Amino acid sequence: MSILSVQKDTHRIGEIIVAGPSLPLQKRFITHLCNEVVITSNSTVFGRSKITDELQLFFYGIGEKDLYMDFAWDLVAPKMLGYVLVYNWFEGKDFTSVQQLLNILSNLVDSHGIVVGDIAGIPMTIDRSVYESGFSLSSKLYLSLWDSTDKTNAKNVLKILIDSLINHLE
Amino acid sequence: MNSGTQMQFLRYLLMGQSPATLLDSMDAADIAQIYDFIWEKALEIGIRVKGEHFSQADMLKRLKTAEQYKLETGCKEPLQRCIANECILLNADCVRKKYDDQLDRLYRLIADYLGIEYRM
Repeated sequence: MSILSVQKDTHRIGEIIVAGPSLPLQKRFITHLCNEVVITSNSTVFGRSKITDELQLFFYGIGEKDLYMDFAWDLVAPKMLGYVLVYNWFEGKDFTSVQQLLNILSNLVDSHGIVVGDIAGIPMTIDRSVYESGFSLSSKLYLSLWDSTDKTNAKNVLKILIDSLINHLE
Repeated sequence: MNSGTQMQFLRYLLMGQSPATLLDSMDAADIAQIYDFIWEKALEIGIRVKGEHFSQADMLKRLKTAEQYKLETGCKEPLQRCIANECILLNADCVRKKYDDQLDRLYRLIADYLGIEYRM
C-alpha cells in the first residue's frame, strides 16, 4: 500500500481485488478506472482511483495464479470492498478457470463480487441493453460483460459492484 | 446450486447454446433449482428486450403446462403433485424429463428474443 504513498489517516480507502486468468486483462481493467497505475516486478498491478480528496478506491490486480489457492483470502477478505474476476468471454478454457475460482471464493469470502466477461470489441449479436446492467447470480454476486476496448465500459462494471454494496446498506 | 454452475447456464443462455450437455451430469433436484434460476433470468432478459411490450403470458405460452405434461406421460397422480415436484424422490426421471424439456423450450425462446441462432 505504501507503493502509492497513501496517508491512511486522512483518506478513506475502498479496496477491490481484481483476479482472473489473464494479467493483461486485469491491467487493462484497472487502467481504465484509475488515474495512477503501478505494475510491480512480481506481476501484480496496483491502481488508485481518486473519488474525492478524502475517498479513494484501490484496485489490486493479483496476477495469474493457479486458482489462487496460495493467496491469503482469509486476511484480505474481511477488509476488501469487493472483488472483480475478469476473463475472455469467448474463451471456454478461461471461463472454466473463472468458474472454478468462483466456486472456491464462494466458500472463502463473503464479499460482493462481479464476474466480467471481456468481449474485446467483438460485436455481440445481442443488444447491449440486455447485458449492460449485469445479471445477479446471488444477492452479492453479479455477471456482466465488458468491452475492454471501450474505456467508459469499465465504469459500468464498477457501478454494478457499487450498486450491489449499496443494496446491502443497513 | 453453486455460483459457477449458475454462471455456466447463464452463459449458454446468452450464447444461444442448448443446456442439454450441462444437464447430463445433474440430478433432478439440481435441475429443478437451475430451472427456477433460469426462469428468473429469462424474465429479466424478456423485460430488457421487450420493454413495455413484455408479457409473461406470452412466455408461458411457449412452455408446456404441468397438465399437458401429465397427459403426455399418462400420469394418474394429482396435478398439484406434478406442479410441486412431489414425485422427485419416487420418480426422479419423470421430473428430470419435464425440466429438460422446459429448459430447452426456455432457451429456444430466449434465443428468439435475443435474435440469435439456437444451437443444439
